[in-house]
Amino acid sequence: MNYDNLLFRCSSAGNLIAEKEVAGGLTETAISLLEEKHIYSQYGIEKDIESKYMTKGTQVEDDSITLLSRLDKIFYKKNTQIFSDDFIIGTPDIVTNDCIIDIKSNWDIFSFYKAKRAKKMNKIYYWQLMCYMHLAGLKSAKLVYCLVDTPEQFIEKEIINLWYKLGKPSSDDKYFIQASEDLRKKAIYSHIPIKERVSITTLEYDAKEMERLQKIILIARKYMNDNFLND
Amino acid sequence: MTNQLQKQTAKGLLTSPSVQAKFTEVIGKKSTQFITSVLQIVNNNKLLANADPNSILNAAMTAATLDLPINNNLGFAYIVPYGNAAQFQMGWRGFVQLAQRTGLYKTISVSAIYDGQLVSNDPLKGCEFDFSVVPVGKPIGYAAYFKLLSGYEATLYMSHSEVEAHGKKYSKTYSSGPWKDNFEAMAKKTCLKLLLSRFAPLSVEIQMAVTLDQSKINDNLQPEYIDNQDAEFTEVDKERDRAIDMIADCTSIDELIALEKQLGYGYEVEIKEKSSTFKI
Repeated sequence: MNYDNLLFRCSSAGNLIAEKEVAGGLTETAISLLEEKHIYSQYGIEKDIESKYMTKGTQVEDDSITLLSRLDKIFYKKNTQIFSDDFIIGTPDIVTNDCIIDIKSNWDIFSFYKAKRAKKMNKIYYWQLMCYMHLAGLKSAKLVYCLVDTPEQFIEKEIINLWYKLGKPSSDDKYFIQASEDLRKKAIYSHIPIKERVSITTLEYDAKEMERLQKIILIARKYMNDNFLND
Repeated sequence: MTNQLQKQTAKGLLTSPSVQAKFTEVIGKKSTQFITSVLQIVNNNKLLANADPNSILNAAMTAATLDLPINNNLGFAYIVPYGNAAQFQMGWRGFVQLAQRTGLYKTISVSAIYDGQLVSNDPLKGCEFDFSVVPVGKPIGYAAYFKLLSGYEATLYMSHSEVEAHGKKYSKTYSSGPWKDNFEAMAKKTCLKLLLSRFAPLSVEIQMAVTLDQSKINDNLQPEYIDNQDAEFTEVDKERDRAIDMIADCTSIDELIALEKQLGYGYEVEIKEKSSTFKI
């Protein structure tokens, strides 16, 4: 057993690679990622714990694809094909004839606006898209932020959490009623026009960047072999 | 001869280097042991040994993706024969395991309930049980319960006849499959699965387990056929909803024609209805 053939998820590539080259090739963030991969491989223990933001993202993914479809007037279908090569593995959200589309569903309107105004693409998403383009052999990608309604089940759980937080007030407590209404208001967006709920950023494929990533993956595998297999 | 050939193919498929590499990629070092236990189960079950090897592989890969060992003694997940295919099946312990891994649950359990143990059953406020009553005879029902770290808790009680009715209604294999062979385990799983899908925070893995339980799985790890599927476990067909929303959005006949070309078959009624709203 060694890590010579270990594949990295496209979504984790951004944690592996630094903006600029560093001595030894690996940043602290990258080494933490390698440790996590080793711990999972060795003991089956995963660090990732689901957050409500991630769970909403997964649960409303189809709604976000619908939002984009309605805006573009193109019937997008969710991709289920897993792509991989000798270095990376991943499943892009949407693969069209000429581009990759990755959907990010924001938790609320505030995080949506923050994402919209960001001048530079989030590093993790940048590498995720770069990897997807590489695997699918496409030259262009879109990162699409979507603002869709939070499922009712989530809203109810948030209200229950709020009820506990407020010390289990009675159901006619005015403050609790108002706070619940505010919470619901922050979760429902379907009344806002579609074009105001979608933000698109494009990215072009860069082969040199992928070469840089592949080199880092080779360094990472060697690091894992050298440091973890003689524990 | 055919049986022998298929048996060999299932073994050959699971032990091929490319398949082994895929398992290693998903579960790391545990892959060798995992494949060995799957092969043992296949070899010990004539119906499975004759089942489509790809369906065995897909069921095994689903269990590996959920990181649930296929071991009948553990009862986390099973591979069972259904017709000439293999079906992936969750055990109630598998659901408990997946729930525990989310780190959100303080307690999660499921139990058979015996005569005298059910004190009250309020569909809104939950149930009360008295477990000091010694179990006698056959269970009168089954109860599942969880409590989150946040304090939120929920209980679901199903009487024996409710569980039985559920199995008969939704499982085509009720009289021959696991319901017949292991009613109690199926009853516990049904109760727990319903409780989780109704009230619990569902991680991606639990959602996957709920969706793929008792299904024949295709190469993309999507359910091809699902046994024991009822409306509460069924995902809404979001793709169809999307198409219908898009048809409703069309503002001209040209737009509708362009969309029809993208959609293909299956939306004739909706398109005809929409086209009648445009003046030609």
